[in-house]
Order: sequence, then C-alpha cells, then structure tokens
Amino acid sequence: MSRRSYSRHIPDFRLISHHAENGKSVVHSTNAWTKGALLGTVLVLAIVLANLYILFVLYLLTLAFYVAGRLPLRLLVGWYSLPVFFVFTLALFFLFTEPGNQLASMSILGTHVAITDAGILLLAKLMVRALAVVTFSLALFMTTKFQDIAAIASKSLPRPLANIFLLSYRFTFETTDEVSDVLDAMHSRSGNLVRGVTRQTRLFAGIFGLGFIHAFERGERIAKAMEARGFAGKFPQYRELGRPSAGGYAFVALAIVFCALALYLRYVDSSLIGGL
Amino acid sequence: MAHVHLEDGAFSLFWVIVWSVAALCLIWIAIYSLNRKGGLSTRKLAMAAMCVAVGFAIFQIEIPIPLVGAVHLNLTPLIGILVGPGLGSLCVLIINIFSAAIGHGGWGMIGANTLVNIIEVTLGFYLYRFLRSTLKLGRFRSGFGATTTALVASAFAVVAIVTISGIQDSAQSAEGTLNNMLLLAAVNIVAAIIEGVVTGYIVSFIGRVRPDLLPDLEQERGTRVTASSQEVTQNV
Amino acid sequence: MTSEASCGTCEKDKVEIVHVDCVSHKYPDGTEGIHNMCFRVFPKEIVALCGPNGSGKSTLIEHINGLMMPDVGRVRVFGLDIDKKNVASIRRMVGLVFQDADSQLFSPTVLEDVMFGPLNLGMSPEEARKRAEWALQVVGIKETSKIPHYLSGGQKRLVAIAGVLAMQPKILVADEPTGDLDPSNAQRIEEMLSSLKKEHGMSVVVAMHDMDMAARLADRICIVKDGSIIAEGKPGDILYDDDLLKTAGLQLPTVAKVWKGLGLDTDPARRPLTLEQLMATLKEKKK
Repeated sequence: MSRRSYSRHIPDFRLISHHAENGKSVVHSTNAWTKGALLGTVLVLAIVLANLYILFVLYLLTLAFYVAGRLPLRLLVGWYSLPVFFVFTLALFFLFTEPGNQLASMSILGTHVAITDAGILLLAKLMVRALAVVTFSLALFMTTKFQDIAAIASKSLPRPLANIFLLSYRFTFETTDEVSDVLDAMHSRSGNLVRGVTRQTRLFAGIFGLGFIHAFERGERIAKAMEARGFAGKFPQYRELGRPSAGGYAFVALAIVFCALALYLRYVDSSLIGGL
Repeated sequence: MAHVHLEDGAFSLFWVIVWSVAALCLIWIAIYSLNRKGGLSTRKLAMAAMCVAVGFAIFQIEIPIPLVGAVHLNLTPLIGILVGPGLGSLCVLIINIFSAAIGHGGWGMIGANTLVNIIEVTLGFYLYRFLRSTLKLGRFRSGFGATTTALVASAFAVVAIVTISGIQDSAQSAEGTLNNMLLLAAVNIVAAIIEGVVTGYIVSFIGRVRPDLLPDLEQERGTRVTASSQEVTQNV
Repeated sequence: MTSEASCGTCEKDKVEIVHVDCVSHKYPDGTEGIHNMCFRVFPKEIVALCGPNGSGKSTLIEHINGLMMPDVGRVRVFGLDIDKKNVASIRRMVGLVFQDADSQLFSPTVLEDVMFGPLNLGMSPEEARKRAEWALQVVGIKETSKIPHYLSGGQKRLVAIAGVLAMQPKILVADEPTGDLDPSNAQRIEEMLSSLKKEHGMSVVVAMHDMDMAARLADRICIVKDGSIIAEGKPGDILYDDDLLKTAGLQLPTVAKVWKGLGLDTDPARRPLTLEQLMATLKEKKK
C-alpha cells in the first residue's frame, strides 16, 4: 500500500480515517448524531449571519472544535488551499467590480479597474464563511469512526444512495492506494518529467483508464462476493448508533436556538441586522 | 468537471434550498427510472460505487500541464459514458457529498453542483452514443466531442445558476454578476477542452483493453464490437 | 437454459453432496469456461482442484455456488438442482471464498463484515453478532473493530473465510486461498481449512496450483485442464504421475521429486505426501 499522499492541499481519506479510528479526545467521544446536527447548524449560521465579526467568531468556534479534537493544525492549513482558491477565483472579479469606495486603482490594457472596500468586505465574508464550514466538516470526519458514518448514511439516505455511499466510502481507500501505487511506479521511472503535452496527457489517460478498468473488475468481484453471501439489495443494519447524551441534546438545542435567532433577525426583523 | 466553485455562504439560504430541491427532483427521477428498468442490481451497485471511488481518487491527482500549471479532473462525462445517466446521477451526488466533506465545494452547494454534474453525465452519455453509433466517429473523437460539449454546456449552466442566485451580500447587478461569471466560464471552457482530450484518450484506452465496458453505447445501429480487444478495429 | 444431458459415467456407489453432472458453460464472448465437466464432492472430505491459470477451476467453483448457471448439464447440491428459485438456499449450504480477499470485505469493520452473511440469512443483529464472533474465534482473528483495509493479507483471507463460515455452510469452497501469502500466513490458512473438516465435519473444495499444499491437505485430487477434469484420484496416485502433471501444466510436489529422485518409488502404497512422512520413511529405511 502506498503511503504517499498525493498532495498537501487535498485532504486524503486515508489520513482522515487514521485520525478518526485512532484519535482520542472529547470530540472523538461525542455522539456522531450530535456532530452531524452541529454541522447543519454551522452551515445555516455561516449562510445566514451577515456581520463579519460574528462570522469570524463562528470560524474561531469551529477552529476550537477542531483543536479540541487534537487534530493537526498544520494539516488543516494545507487543506485550506482549495476552499481559499475557490473563494478567491470568484471574489477576485467582485473585488474590482463591487460598487463601493475605491481603495486602489490601476489601468490594465487601457481599462481602469479599482479595488473597492465593498469588494474586500465581500471577499473576507465569503472566506470566513467557507473556512468555518470546511473546518467543522473536516473536524467531524476526522473524529468520527467509519462505522458511525456508515450508520448515519444508512439512516439518512434513500436505500440506493446509502448502498452506493457505503460501498464507495469503503473502497475509496483501495482505489486511492492503487492509483497512488501506479503514480509511484511512474515516478520511479522518472515519468513525472513533462515531455510534451500530448505525451503527458496520454500517460495520465492511461493511468486513469487503468484505474477505471481495475475499478470495474473489482466491482464485478464485489458483486459476486455479495451475492454469494446472500445479498438481496439492502445492506443489513449492523448496529444502532446510540442517541446523543443529554449534554449533546442540550448543545444541539442551543445551536438551533442561535440559528433560529439568526434567521429571525436576518429575514424577519432586519432592524437589528446591523448587529448580526 | 465544471463545478460551481463556490463554498458555503456564497448563496443565500433561499437559493441553497431551491437548487437542492431541484437536484433532489432529478435524483428522484434517476432512482425512479432505474427502478423501472429492474432496480439497482448488485452489479450496478458495485459498478456505481467503484465509479465514485475511482473518480474521487483520480480527482486527487494533479496533472502538470505546461503553461497552465496543474489541473484536477473529475471525469463526470466519462462516468456518464460508462454507467449511463441514471446511475451516473447517483454517482455524482455521492461524489459531491464526499467533496463537500473535505471542503471542495460547500455542503449547501451540493444541490447546485449535482445539477451541473447531472448535465455533464447526461450529455456525456447521449452525445458519445450519438457520435459513436450514428456519426460513426472513432472512440477518441467521440469521447473528446461528448466530454467537451458536455462541459461547455455545464460551464454555461454554472453561469446561469450563479447569475440567477446572485452572490450573497453583493450589491452587483445581475448584469455585473453575469459579466464576471462569463469570464470564469472562459476559464472553464479551456479546462473542458483539456478534460475532453484526456477523456478521449481514456475512452480509447478502455476500448482497447475492455471494450465490453462500452457495449451498450457501441452496439447501437450495427457498430459491431466483440469483447476480444484484438478484434476491435482501432478507430481513434 | 439447462438441458438434461448426463454423461452417465459417474459412479453411483457413493452418496455425493455436490454433483456437477457434465456441465458446460460458455462466456458471453464465446470462450468456453468449462466443457463436459463432471465433478463430485462427498461428505467430510477435502478435494483439491489443481490446474494452471485459466483451466476452469474458478468457473467450476462459481457453478457450485450458483453464481453461474450451466449452459448444458446440471449441478446438484444435496439433491437439489440449482436454479434461480433455490439459489438462495443453495448459498446457505455452499460457502464460497474468492481469490481476491479485498473484494469480499466490503463492510465498515471486520465484525460487521462477518455479520453480513448471517444478517442476510434473516438472523437478528444479536444472533448475527454471536455467530460472527464465533466464526472469528474459529479463524483466530481478534481485531474485530478494525477497518478491513488495514488488515494484513493473511488476516484478510482469514476474515473472508470467517465471513463465509458464519453462515455455517455444509461445504466451503475456496479459490486459491493461499495465493500471494507469505509462508506463515499460508500455513495458518492451510491448518484452518484442515480443521474445518476434522473439527467441524465440513467438506472443503480448494482450487489451487500449489502441489505441495495439495499433497498435504487433500483427500482427493482433481486435475483440471482446458475446462475439464482430466484425472481424479488419491493424492498418492495423482501427485506422483509426472506425465499427467506435465500435461496439465503442473509440477510434482517437492516430496515426490525427492522420493523419485532417490529412486525409492517402488511401492505406490508407501508414497509419502508430506515432509514429515518423507523424513519418517527415510529414517526407517536408514535403520
């Protein structure tokens, strides 16, 4: 099994499951339903809250949740790359076109463009919102065992989707390792040196094509193995995921109250909108 | 793969709900049509799961491209070509859930992203079949044509979705948002061409090694294919 | 569609629990998987199916479990002709362990994977758990809450066997169970398979091309070539027939090579099959 991560800026499921299965912290022992409900409330709050400072507090709370899980911060910083990139690619245009006070201007190819304060504010809000949800989401998956995620998926998704989710989640490890191994083999023969776009493209197309072929062949074997053990279309329920504790319920209730308040103040009584 | 490359908070709650409901309707249609064709057999379940797993694994690979830097591919039109639009729709929803879990796209964006990806898998499937069996093009050209067209269409779908929804807290007019999104679409179109080329090569590779993985599409209207790769005419 | 052909050459003196009666099967691409295959399994025996890659061993095995249906001939298991209607009950009686252990372990944890079969049989989660724990104990696996992906190759094989064992089949069919395992894990699997017959009274069918293992393990050997069984008999007869094994693309087991090489193969009744037997016989001769 290859232990290389492909890239420092894309979360690796193998690393995520390593922390989930082996970590010990108060967050690890929190019920998975509680964490799932909290993810929902963080999501709603990130969407509904409009004040940058309060959004930043939300982000800090999610970061505290991550740290409470005894999870590596350095890893998180690397994994912020994609969300930051996505926010930036969109907000980059709005930075210059958002109506507001001009802070700096320049001429590009005869066109006058200016960064506005509203553009910077928009960028900051989008960034904080995104990072709050991403941080909590990663913390959830890095502190929740696979079997608990499987139990939640079985309960919350329709059967065909739950079945696909469970099998694909399980085999992401295998396929990731397999593709990793092929890349290692390529790198070991200096295959990473770019020698022309066409050659490079064909090389990777071959790797990807092989990946799909192996995946389909594995799929055929899995189907046979499942049928050989009496599978009739529904994954059996292995265990019940316990309910949250009283503390968990209380925590979620509090978060829901905040959500409700935020929704009310945002959409019903916007006179206080300046505060939230 | 085109994507509404937005994280949570970019759309208002109303539009998150609207696009999520729209996506759920399409997913319901996909499940309904699968049930009408006999349900999700064990084999189809395993294939769909493997598509998701390998699609997700491939997404993590950086392909260095000269002058461009690096690109990541998701190959959703290819998934449509291999497993069809019904199963492909379920696959892309699961891929989007996995992606949201690791911060590639927001949880609230799953609906919008799934809509975009369903366009890709559906167009990818039908265009490939049309190009291969009706126009009798080779696998590379069929794969390239289907993928590029599907991704260009989905790039414009992204423009439409974001323009209609607007960016939360932005004072931009719809016209301003549209202009910004059209610039992004131009970048997505370049990525679509790259992914089209890669998909074309992948499809011709699969066709040489395991042509039986492409049988439904290739046995329309007399395009003969046998499972033996030696007997398949190289037609790239 | 199964036709009622029967070769009529199978002996009728013994009561078999599996009877593959002159079965032929072609794959969709026209390749013949098995041709006029006649094969039987009797109670409480270990049968080795030996043949090179592509000889039809896996195809035969998948017919016994009902994963494939014959084009010609029939497969009977405990007196029942396998068809689509009774295939579920057949699979309760015939457990199949595939060559690729990874593709058989598809549940979140080891324990849940072994519970998969019993739950599909309709057991309650509690009963299934007890059954699974028993099966894991039989194969000697303690890491019950691990994700299967993180097990070693040998452990994966043992868990795969446990997953089938938990359904308490009467027959266990294993496809190359020790392929690509290190010697100590291979030995563990071999001992496990032997104990299934001795301690649990099961019949075991093992597809393999390791003739040393066949010599140690099997009560009866069937040589498979080009989709048919070309020879069948006791290990002492089959595994010492150099010409037969060469025809089938196989080799003499090490013990036979040594025995023959020393010029000691004068009495077929005294042919050793294991290294221990060889050493004991050589010591006896030395005296």
